[in-house]
Amino acid sequence: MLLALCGCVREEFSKAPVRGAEKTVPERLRVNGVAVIKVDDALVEALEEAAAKGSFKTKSAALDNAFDSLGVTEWHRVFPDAGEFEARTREAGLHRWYHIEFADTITYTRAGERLKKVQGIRGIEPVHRVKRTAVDGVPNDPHFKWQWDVYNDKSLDLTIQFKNDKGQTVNYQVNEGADVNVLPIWQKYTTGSSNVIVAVVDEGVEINHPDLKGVVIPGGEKGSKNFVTRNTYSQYTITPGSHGTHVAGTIAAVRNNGIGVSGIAGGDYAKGIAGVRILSCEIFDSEDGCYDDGCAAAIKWGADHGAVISQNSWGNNYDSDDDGELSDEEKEVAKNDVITNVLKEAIDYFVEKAGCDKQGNQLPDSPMKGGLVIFAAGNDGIEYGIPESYDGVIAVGATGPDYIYSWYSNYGSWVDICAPGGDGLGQDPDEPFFTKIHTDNLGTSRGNIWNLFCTTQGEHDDYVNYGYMNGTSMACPHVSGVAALLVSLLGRQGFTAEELRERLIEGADASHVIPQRYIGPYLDAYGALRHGNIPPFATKAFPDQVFAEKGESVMLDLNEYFQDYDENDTVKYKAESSDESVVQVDVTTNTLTIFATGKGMATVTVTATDSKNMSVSSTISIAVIRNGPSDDSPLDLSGLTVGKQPVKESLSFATLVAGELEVKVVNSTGKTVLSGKYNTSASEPATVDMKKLAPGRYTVTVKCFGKSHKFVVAKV
Amino acid sequence: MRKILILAMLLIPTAALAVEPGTEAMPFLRLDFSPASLAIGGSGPKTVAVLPFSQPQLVAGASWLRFMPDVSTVNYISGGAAGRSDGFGYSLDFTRGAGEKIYGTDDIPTDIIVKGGVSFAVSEDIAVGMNLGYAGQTIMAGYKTSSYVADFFAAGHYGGLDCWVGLSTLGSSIGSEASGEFPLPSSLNVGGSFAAAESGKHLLKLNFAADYYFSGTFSLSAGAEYSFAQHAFLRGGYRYGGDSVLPSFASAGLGLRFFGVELNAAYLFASETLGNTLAVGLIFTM
Repeated sequence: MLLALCGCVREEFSKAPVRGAEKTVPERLRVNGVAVIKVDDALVEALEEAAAKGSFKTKSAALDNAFDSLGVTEWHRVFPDAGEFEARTREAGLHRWYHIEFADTITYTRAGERLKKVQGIRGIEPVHRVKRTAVDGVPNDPHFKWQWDVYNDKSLDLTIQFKNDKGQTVNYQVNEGADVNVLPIWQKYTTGSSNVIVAVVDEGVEINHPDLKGVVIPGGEKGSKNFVTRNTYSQYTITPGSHGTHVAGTIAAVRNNGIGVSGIAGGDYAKGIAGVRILSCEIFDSEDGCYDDGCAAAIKWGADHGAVISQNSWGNNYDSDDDGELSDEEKEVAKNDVITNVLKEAIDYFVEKAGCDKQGNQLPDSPMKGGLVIFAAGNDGIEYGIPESYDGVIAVGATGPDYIYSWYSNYGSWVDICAPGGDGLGQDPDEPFFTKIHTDNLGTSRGNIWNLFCTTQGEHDDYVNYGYMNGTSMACPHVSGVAALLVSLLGRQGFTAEELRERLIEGADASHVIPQRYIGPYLDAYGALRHGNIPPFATKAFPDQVFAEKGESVMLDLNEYFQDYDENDTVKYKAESSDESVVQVDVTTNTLTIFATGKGMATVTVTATDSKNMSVSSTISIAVIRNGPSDDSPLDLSGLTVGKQPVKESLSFATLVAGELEVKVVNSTGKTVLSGKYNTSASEPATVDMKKLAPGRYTVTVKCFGKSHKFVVAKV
Repeated sequence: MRKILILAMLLIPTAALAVEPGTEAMPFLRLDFSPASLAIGGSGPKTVAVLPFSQPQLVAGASWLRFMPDVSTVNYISGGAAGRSDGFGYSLDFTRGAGEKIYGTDDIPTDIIVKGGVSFAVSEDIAVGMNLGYAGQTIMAGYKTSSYVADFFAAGHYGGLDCWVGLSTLGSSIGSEASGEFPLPSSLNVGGSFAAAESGKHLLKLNFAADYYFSGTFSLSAGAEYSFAQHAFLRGGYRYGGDSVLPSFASAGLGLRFFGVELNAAYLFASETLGNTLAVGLIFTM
């Protein structure tokens, strides 16, 4: 299979900062019949105008002539119209990239020569075929105890047997307890959060997998997407595959649900905590795959659809003859490979714009500003690899349960970090090396326990839903999973992808590094969390405080509302009233006392500051109803907000401060059709379900804070 | 007659859609816009089938109903005419109601009902009749619903007793954007009216009516009308609404008739939502 058709870029294309890469690519690696071009404004206009008309011909005669002479049969934007994110797509220049397909009898070189003559074509690039970076695995039985990569308490016998020079069988004892050290985080801090989205750029993820229920965002305009097909009608239909499902399971398989395996950031099902979510960006199906320009579009899709981590277990394919190993010539090709500009720009886009609005500010509901693109280092056992060696990504090498470099992992100074990818050897006791086999209760051999056991799609090597795989493909999602777990805990306004990257790499365990086969320090989830300070957190929102009269007071234990995760760190509290004529505050150590001093509304801002001067604030809404028993003009808390009309399913009510609403709904002939009590506040409106009511007008009476309100609402 | 039965069979299934009692669509179709009937708990006849037993005369009338002012006022204006000729009865009614503005808009919701009815006596004592009509409501700007409605009744006349039985408020269902189809408040209706006592110029009539709604609930109405010399009328009644679309209420009313002009009024009380409802109407006998 052909892999990298690269280099050969025109004029201003800058060299991507690829560590250890050269710019020349052997002619033999250039794919005939496909290329990407980057065009100027005039050609953008011509192409977009033609696309809008559904015309293949553009108003640029030069371009049309070139296309005709090359027998171009297809052209389209590499990065399709991004809707609400189109403006920043254009700002990044990604709208200039076009994928073209032409007669495969024409070499890339000849096509490049012809296209160079067209004024307005700013650059031409070949495309790479890409491949998954997994090594073969054998499926087996679902159980956490086999997941040594996630939690290794040394109870699993990982002994290898091999034959020495004299033909004697020797045991290689492995009792290192190698895992990604996630247990302390699960125990003390978090098991994942559903507001973190990881884009899995891979095969499709099995949305109906029993261990991924509710985890995978369904296909749709704002959800998962299939980049393999160009068919408009099937672009949101995900075709699941075992590789993508294995990767997703490592990150987010539902934890503690009594079945299968545990993902690193899979939440806690028993406690009702949902883990991180997966956005499936499908670039492979069972028969086909994208070129790297399609992969670039898939990476960008993640940034535009809520993901802050892009998980990529694929890379350029250097095994041209598909014989399973790289010849010297193929290695030379790999050495000289470069990242295409179209892919580089997509990665840069993700890193800069994930989690941000169109102006580049962190979105209010995004846990992180910017994104992290994580790539598998590749399985060719060489010092090179594209795109994983690009500076903008985190490259992940693979190890076995002995912390040692896996035989297949690419290596080099460009590899940022390593993680368990499996290092399974032979499964036959008569082979020179034999790794223990995972045998199920029925005595059936399920797989090589030095490899990694996780979710698969359907039947994988005769076993359903779970199986063994190995490769840097499997190592990579460990880093993505830990990254997602850290974002689940540390994510907040101001938390950046740069900080996350630093924590992952600088917090990793460098004690197992082997200089001869450098694959970076070993992933250490707890180490990453402890690297640098952890700011204090507001663990829950303050309840609104409503005082019936001036002179009343309330005391709150602030340790119930804030926590600092740094061991032995102390937090100091400060509180401030927005209006001291309404409330005054006093903080003594961990206790906040709020005094009602007069009728009105105000807010109290409480700030927790740790010893490193990092702080977090939280606000309390206050209302004082009366100045005293004789006050016959109580504060009107009737700031009741009623949901927009007409009502289709439910009617919502919000109040300035938290309170209880008594709601009664009467039909147009006076029949009371709904009544009940609802809790509400400004941030959490009460929702009255009106689905069972026929279309018509209804009179809704709402009693809150001693006052009655009446509205006529329309139900349709 | 055969056509009438076929039409009834077509309409019944739509009325039989399962909904929670009291949540049927267009409940205003069950309101009584006649002040005289409303004053006796709504127990007056709602069918044209009783007309062949009435005096051979033409009457026309108009009424105003100020409905449910304690909750949100709806003003209904009605007009109509009815008559009898050679064993045939006929009627034509029109009602329009306007409620209070929908919250947050300037849109005033409206209801409209147009009905025509015919009946004929199949014997000296038995008559059959049907009403056919159209009902629509504008919920707010851009949101309207409508349905064709029908009633099918048989009526009997035995001495001082008038009675009737039939299917009321049949019609096509109303679709909701989010909640599927809702039937009209259709029911099986039985009722009667008889002279309980008569002495000289004094007459006491008693009325009753019962409905079994296809949504699974029922209601009962009963009332009495005392009249003096057919010039002055004193009325009172009660409706037990149960879980039906129209709740319980007590009612009272007065009427005066002179020179072919009848003035009636009704007032509702003893109701959580319908108290202070008032109806006034004029009837001209020609």
